[in-house]
Amino acid sequence: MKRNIVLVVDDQEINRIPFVLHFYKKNYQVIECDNGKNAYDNIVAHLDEIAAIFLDLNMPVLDGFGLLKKIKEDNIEILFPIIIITSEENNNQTIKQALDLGATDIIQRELNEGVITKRIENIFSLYETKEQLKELSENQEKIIAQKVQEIKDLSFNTISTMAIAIESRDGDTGNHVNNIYNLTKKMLIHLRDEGFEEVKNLTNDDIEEIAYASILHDVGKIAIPDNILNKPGKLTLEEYEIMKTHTTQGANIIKRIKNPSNSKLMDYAYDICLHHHERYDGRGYPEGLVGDECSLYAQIVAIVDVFDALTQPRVYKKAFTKDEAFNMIKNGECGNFNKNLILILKKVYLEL
Amino acid sequence: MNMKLEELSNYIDINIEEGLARFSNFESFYIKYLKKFVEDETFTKLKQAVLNSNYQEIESYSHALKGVCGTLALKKLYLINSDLCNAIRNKNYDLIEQLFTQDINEYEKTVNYLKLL
Repeated sequence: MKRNIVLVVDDQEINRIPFVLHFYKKNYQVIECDNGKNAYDNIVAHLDEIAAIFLDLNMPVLDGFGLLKKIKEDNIEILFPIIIITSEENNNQTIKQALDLGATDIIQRELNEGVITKRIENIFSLYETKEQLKELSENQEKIIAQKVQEIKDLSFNTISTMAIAIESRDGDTGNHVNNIYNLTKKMLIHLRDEGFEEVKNLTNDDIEEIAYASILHDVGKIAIPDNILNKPGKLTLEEYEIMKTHTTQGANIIKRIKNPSNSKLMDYAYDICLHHHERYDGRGYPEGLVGDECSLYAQIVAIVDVFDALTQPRVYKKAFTKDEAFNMIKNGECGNFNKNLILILKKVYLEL
Repeated sequence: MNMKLEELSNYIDINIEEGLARFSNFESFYIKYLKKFVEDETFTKLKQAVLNSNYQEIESYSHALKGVCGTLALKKLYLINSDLCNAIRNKNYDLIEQLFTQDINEYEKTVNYLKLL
């Protein structure tokens, strides 16, 4: 919307008239104010329509300095020039004080009319250019945000395709990857909303990044032989030990991936890969971390990984219902988990 | 007798061209405010302030008059009031009487001719 209002602020009508006539001729709507308070009310009422303010300094009720101070104190965002009209020729102190308070320029009343007109034109032109640059910058920001989102989407698709490809080796249809992503995300949102210390300051972007990272938790399975990965029956002790290495193998793979953007995603993925089989009582693997020695993110993926695995059919078992799966976890049948996470898991799975 | 605007400069120190430019060449508005100046009470208040040696008021009123005279392009009146204002600010109080005498003389002459518009 083109700004079409000019405020002329001076307690003396005679001093307002030249500006009123000047802008009337240029088809602006001119609002005359005889003191700073009156001007302030009009500024608030027409903030998005004002093109400029011409302001005298010496006025009753609220003078020019008072108006500038009030605008600053009330944090009103001024996107138009405030031009002081003064008869204070060469008073540097006055000029400096007004400029420090946010005035754009000072014009002496006594200047030749042609000079005043030109100064006003220059100031308006400057603000128009500023407005255009701001619009251009905002458009560019939108385009950049769009491109960033496209890259993120592409990254997510690439990562999830890779994860799905790896998971499909042990018969998974790809649901597990998406389920882990969704469950991790929901757990984090709930934990944040309930003010859990470790996650209360996470942004939505942070949560998204951790959820992305979670889908790489089993990437280490790529290093596990088929005969072990797809064995329908119980694994031998030796086979189990090999299977357990998918955590450390996965972490090593993640470590070798270059991270040019220095995002935290790979740090999260490394941690989750390595520790998603740890248990709260220290009986997990590979490092036997106890309690909160294991990061909350890895603990979350650990619990949702078990939950999802229980609720999906496998070659060696049928699918349990969500209630059955939750109760098994709660009763410690699948290892020991953080009690807080068990409570949150209940809320999350009831929403599914 | 009705004086035309352009004749004024023959009698008082006024820059018609400059004044008209300030009023965006709306002659009717320029004449209107020149006539209004005749009725303006600021000079009366200045006179009282000088009589009372109220320096703050002298500064205030002479400053206001300076502004108005500048807008109306009343050159000599502008300069006198500017000098008067500066004299107060510089604490040259001994100049007040002399400057105000010039002011009142020029003011009365100006107003008498403006009344003929």
